[in-house]
Amino acid sequence: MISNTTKLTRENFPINPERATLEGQNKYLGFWFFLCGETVLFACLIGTYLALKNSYSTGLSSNELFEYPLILIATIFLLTSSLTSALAVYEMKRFKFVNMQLWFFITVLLGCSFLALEVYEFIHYVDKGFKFTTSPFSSSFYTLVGFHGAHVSFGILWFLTLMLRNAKSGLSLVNAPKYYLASLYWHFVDVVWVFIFTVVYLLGMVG
Amino acid sequence: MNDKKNTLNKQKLNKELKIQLLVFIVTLLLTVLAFVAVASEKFAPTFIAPFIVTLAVVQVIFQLYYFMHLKDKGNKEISIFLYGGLLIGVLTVIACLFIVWL
Repeated sequence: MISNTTKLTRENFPINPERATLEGQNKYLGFWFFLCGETVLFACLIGTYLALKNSYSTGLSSNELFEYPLILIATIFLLTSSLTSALAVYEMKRFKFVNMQLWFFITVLLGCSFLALEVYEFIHYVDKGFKFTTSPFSSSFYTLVGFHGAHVSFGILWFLTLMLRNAKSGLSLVNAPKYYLASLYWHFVDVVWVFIFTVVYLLGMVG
Repeated sequence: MNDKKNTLNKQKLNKELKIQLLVFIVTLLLTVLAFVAVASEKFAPTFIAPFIVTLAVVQVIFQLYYFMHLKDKGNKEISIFLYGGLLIGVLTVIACLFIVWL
């Protein structure tokens, strides 16, 4: 462990800065505890969706509704943003603050592109007459995918807040765990999307 | 002594980066494969559904172990949280599917 008064350089910066202090270790453990709860939250939403997806009443069914090329592009954006946030953490471990901020900024841009496509998708569906209250299928669809979209928005705001807050101070053992947890959260949101992409969109195409 | 440790750490980081790039490419390929398999409409639903769900599970394992660092030393306690959450999650999905509304 490094004491608080040591000046950090590229040479003495620990390889796992997120767990180099007791506070960092506690945050790391606590954050996984939170992710465990998030897993259950999304499991509930996915379970509800699967149970209700064939109750489309007089509205559109899943294989009449979805816009596939759009969704594939959105998925690629989100997968790539997962890689760029991993690259940011790589730069963090090498104590290269500016590079890290840059990769996080690219992550934010990719996240925004994903959100823009999702908003466009929802508007398009509403135009087709597929609204939140159209059928049990539409309600569970918008709730599940909307919850995920809200997580993406929160992740974007989280990254931006950290980037602005620490823009002048540079990297330290106090803010390294914060950046690291934001990137863990981002990977988690990506993992959830992999499931939504498969269970909602691809299985929806099968019928 | 410190220099030696530093070079070792750098090698370790670069190796990790290479693995992450590889994992990213594999994940992208699996996503496209799942998409193409469904879009071709050549396979029966009874085959395609378990097939694409398996692909998703493989991708998630890659993400968890290589991007979220579950493979690293000292992360055993953390995987308890993860598997605990997953267990409850899977049970919830099964319950919703077979018990609650049917």
